[in-house]
Amino acid sequence: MSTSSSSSKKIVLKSADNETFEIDEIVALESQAIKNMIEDECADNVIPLGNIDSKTLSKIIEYCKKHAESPKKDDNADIDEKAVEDLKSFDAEFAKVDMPLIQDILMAANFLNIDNLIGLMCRTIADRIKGKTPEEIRKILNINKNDLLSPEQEAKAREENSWAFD
Amino acid sequence: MLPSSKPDQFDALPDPIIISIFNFISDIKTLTRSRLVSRRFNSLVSQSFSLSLRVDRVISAVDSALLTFFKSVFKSLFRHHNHHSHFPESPAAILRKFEKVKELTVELPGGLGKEKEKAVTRVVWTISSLITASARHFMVRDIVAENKALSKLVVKDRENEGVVVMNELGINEFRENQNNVANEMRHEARLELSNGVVMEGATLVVVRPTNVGEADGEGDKWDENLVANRFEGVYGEAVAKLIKRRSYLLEMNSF
Repeated sequence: MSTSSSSSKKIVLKSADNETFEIDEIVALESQAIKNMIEDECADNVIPLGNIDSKTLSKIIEYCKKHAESPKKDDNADIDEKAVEDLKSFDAEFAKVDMPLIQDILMAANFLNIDNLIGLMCRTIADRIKGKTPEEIRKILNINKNDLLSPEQEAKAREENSWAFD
Repeated sequence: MLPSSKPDQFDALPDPIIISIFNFISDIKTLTRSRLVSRRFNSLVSQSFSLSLRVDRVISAVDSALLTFFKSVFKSLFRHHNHHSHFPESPAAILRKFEKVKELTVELPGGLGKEKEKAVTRVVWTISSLITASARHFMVRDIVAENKALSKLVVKDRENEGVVVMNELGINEFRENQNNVANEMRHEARLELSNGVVMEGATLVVVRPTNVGEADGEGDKWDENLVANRFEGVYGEAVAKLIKRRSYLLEMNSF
């Protein structure tokens, strides 16, 4: 199946704050969850996404559009290097957003089951906390204060892994 | 609409997502230090399964009569690499803190080459490559034996002088067939090749299981088959010449 033949069919997504987004079906199919709904014919004209706000949803649609347009590796063994590089730099730009939005996108991508996007967001978070102190990581991720280790738990973790703390 | 920054946002991410973030971090030391971030970090770090480990010293992780022999003979050469301080914990011990390692990259220190004057370098390098090959073997054996879910293992030098990649097939074979290995060394101070190329201190080390080569000449044949057509250009020619030379067998099974 070529990527251009089925582009006429439209899907409407509705965000938690009741904004609607009309997109090509081929773009929606980037989400494994929506793909399953369409295949099982449980998708109505409008798919409500009660846990995704419009800001997050528009970012996700931007991502899916770009990735749906790009040639897929498994379709075509010799896709040109340029397309790969282009997609890479798109991903890098896409990830340049603040941490709350990254976490919202990650949450939504997990719900919609968009593998590549989950990977991109996880890698972005990993890159931002790599080499940081525990205190800095808590700040970056806004870790709940209730989840901090007790002094005893911290001492135990240090003792059991002393090789890593010198 | 969701508020832009709420304190429980990170808590809401499911465990597999957090573990996937840890897999991207992958460096075991960094991950271990991040245990202090929170209780959730502390408990989930041990479930990350795609890991990499930098090993700073490999010599003291292995002890054997042979290594002791090398150490005493080459003590002066090894001086600053032989601190007698023990490896803080062996890679196998460190990996015990992780529950189901699937992919592992182990990065070993590079060769000793650059620090010594030339004539000495070659001897040291030869010995160290033998020791490293054997230490690697035993380190890998422990790691493979203890981590049942392992499906990809990469061992490499920091300076990328050499790399060993084992996939699931190789790991299973290794698990079922834990033979000792022998290192066979062939060496030529000056090897003249075609087109006037001269290779100084050419050394070929073949690592083979000790159960091969018990009959006369079988081992040499095994070696020849192993290296045949594996190398290109001048290396291919050098290997073809070296393989015919007398070999020195160093068996490392006294552990």
